[in-house]
Amino acid sequence: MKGKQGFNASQPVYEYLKNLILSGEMKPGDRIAEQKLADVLHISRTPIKEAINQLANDGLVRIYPQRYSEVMLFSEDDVRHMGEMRIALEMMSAKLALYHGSMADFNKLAKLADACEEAQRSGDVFRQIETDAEFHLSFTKCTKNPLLYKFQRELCLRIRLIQVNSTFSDEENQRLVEYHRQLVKYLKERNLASIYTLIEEHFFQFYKLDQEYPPNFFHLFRV
Amino acid sequence: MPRSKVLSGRSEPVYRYIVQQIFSGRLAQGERINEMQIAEACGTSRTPVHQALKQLELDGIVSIVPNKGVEVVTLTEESVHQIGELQLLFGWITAKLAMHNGSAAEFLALQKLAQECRADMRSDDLETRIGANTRFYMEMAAIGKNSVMMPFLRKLFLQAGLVLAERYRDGDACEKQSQMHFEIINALLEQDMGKFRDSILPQLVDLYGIEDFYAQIQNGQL
Repeated sequence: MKGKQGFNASQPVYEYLKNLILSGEMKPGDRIAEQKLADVLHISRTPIKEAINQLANDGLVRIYPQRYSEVMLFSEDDVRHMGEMRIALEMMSAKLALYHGSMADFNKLAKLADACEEAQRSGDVFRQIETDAEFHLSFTKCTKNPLLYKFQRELCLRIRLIQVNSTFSDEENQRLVEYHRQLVKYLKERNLASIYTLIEEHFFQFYKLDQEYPPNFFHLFRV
Repeated sequence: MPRSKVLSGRSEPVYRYIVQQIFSGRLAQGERINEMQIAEACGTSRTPVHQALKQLELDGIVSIVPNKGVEVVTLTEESVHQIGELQLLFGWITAKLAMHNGSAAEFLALQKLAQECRADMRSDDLETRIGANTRFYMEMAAIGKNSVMMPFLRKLFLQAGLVLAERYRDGDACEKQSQMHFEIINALLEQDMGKFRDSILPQLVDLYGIEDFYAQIQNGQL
């Protein structure tokens, strides 16, 4: 919403809150104190409400209309469904990246895989989560599909919220790094079978979906 | 029509009204939206109109240009193909999930819905036709029981609606689409994704003009 000078006052509030949420400082289920924020930031509640609306659109906040809003709290079912969504988007990104993506795009992806590995090596968990999300986003960017990119962005935000409030073993962190590396390798080789198997196996393990679905279930157009 | 989750009680009807105007063809692609006119037509102030437009912008149906105004987006050939690619991919995934997680009872209930939709898809009003098609696919996707996926699908169908607002002017195209609903249900009941692939995918490819993409898939290149 524009103020008198045409400045969009809700954007900085949005970034501020998003940061609090994705850094783990605000926890799932925490209420967002709108009036307190308004007082601290010396602005009206309108840009705050708008920022909260945007965060709700991102799936990071749940609004109880006329009552209050809180940082999103995901159930076990939600997490599993997000895993299904993750595989689906990854498979879609693979197909479309192979069609619309260039070798130059895949090389950029390799750089992000490097950045994530560096974060993992130095034990910087927050940076690792951040670069992992950047990798997935960059992968989807190869598809040149703005709507799919929007979907991936929203999903990544929610998954970051889960990741920042979870603990992973060293082994799990290493597997993540290995996944990036192998994906880029197979993309460059256009090794279709390996790409799809890698994606499914990696996320089946992560989200424990192998108990729910048979292998190759998420291979698109495979009967 | 699929509901948005963040709109207030006052802006939700305005949102639906604007979508109706666009899908029915009364607001064309690229046309300026007059906020005051909308407010008058809906009997509200400008605030709920503004909120509805902001949500529509997030949904990719309108674009708000600072100091210029709001207009309905214009779809390029490229964006039609992009929407088509996602319809093809999501179409597959939602059918697969519905087939796996749905019961015969649910498929038969979907068949009843398809019958209702068929009547609506013969309506003279474009928006009714589009709404009916969307309702069917959203219900099919719901059978897949992935609640996280639903808002994404809602957004995809809003974008698809812009394409269908052109395609559905042709009554035959609409009739074909309705027929597809019944073929999908047959595929679900018979647990046969091959049937789904053969009867549905070529229609989607044709609707969105993504022959090259689909050919690559069929050749095993993708």
